[in-house]
Amino acid sequence: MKTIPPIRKNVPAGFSVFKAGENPEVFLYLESGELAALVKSNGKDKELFKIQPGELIGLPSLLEKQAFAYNIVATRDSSYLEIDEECLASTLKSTPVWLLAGIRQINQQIKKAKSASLNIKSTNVSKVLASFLYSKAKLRSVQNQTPIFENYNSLLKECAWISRIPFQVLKDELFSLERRKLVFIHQNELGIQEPLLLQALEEYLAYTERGKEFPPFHINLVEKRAVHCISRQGNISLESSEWLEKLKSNDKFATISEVNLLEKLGLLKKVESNTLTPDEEQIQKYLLCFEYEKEIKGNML
Amino acid sequence: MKISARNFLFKEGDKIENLYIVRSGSLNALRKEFKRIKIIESFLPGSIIGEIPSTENEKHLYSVRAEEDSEIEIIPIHLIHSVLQKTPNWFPKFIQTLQWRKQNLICKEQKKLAILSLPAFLFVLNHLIQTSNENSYSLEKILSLLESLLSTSQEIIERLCYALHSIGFFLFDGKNIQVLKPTLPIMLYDVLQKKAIYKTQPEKIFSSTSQLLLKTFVTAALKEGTTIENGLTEISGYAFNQAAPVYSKGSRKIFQELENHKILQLKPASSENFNDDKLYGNLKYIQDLLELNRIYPLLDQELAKHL
Repeated sequence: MKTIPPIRKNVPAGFSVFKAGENPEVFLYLESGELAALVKSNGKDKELFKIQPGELIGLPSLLEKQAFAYNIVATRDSSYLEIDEECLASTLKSTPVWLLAGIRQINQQIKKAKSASLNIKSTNVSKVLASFLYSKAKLRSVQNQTPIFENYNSLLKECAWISRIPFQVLKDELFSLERRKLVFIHQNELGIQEPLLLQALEEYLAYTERGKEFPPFHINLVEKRAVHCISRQGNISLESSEWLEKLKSNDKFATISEVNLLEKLGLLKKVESNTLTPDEEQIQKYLLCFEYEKEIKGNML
Repeated sequence: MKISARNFLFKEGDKIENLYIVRSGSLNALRKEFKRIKIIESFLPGSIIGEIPSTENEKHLYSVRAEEDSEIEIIPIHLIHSVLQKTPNWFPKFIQTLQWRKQNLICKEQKKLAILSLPAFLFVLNHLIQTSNENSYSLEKILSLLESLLSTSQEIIERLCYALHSIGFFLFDGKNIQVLKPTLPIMLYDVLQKKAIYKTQPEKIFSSTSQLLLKTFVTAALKEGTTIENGLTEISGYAFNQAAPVYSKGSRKIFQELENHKILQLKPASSENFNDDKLYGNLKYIQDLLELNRIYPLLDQELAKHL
């Protein structure tokens, strides 16, 4: 297959090859001489880099139709090849298919890399907001302050800054959380009655994203009764067999598998080698999940 | 070549020796990120696996495993080079420049991603600092919390951690972050937030003159300061001048910026002589402020250099 040859050009030293802003849709291959890339700085030419024989310049002009970002001038008498779209296409056609596919792959990777920073924001706005508000409310509780924020706009601006999600998108999501009674809004104030509800929402969304079942919504009635039972026991440490007795006194259908499940779900945690004690925060979260299942799932209609 | 399901075509770190074309079946590119194996790309019939190496001894950045019995065509690198030798003289350079542009763009984008991840990273770190009594935090924990806020990767956050380690923000050994001054990430987050959201000049960032005065106060306070109530340390104007460089001797006027920000308090003596005045400041807070003022200007240039 015959290829379309590039155009060979000569340029004397001191002459311009391309000016910044021009888009000739070609790239150059310098055969001899020397070129320099210059930009104007305070009215003077500032040299950015030199192009030596065997080097290419101007690939974005042809591949991405981008204008030259700097002036290209010859610093010595030079000879170069000008490769345009037709020349490149005909050369590519004469290369083996696998090489063409390899080049195409590099091009796709360049395009993907260019948009990488645009994809940094999470697509799950609800999870981002739940996580952010939970963290804010948790800090308030550590500092013995009520989780009421004077101005929700400031909070949303902060959330937008760290998550890169637009402010208005977050605001719409906040009102959705309010409709689901997971937060309360009064004028500019935002109240979070139960920070753990937001943590539960964040976890539920994370499980859903991974295609997994969220444990609090997938336990049976006997197991639910077991959670309620241990929630009433206070801060005690018992062996598994003693916990089974407790559960049985509340529900005759309870077995050792319920005790094991409570431990697996982190509702009972090991304190010493043989004893288990209730994790109050985890239990509280489960109880909230039972109560607010519809609101967490968001299917209110 | 046939490759059975679950077998590896090559592993991360292996030398690039061939280019592969998938004829049938499917394969996945995998990279280990902590305990999870992450699929970064899938290859179906017609896909090219691998890259045309521009230099010798280039290594694969990921592993490729067959997900089902697959058929692969192998193109050895030496064949690629012999084909390129028959093309016009500008063509091999064209491919090399494309590869270089790709690497350069990926590198630039990763830097940008790391910088964009900084606010969320500090938010998570501050959450851990303020809700626990520890000073060491695992990267794994930070990543699990960050996952809910941002679509970033372990690689990007690791780069950010190493860069912050390089400018002395904290210590990072590849797995754990050790925070030496717990108030520093909190103050930095606050300063960056105010600048980004409210476009205001951060009030905790001082002129070089004020920073010099604070450094002098710390030197004098450590040498002959007296701790009084509310965590304040008292020094005399004389002690300040003793510690001050020749070109920066104290006078009542020069403390105005620091007094306005309530960092230092000056109690003038009746003698009108600065040496008899008293200066008060919270030594620990001032030391943290100085560290913040050291780190803050480094974020613009030094951080990017280390990323």
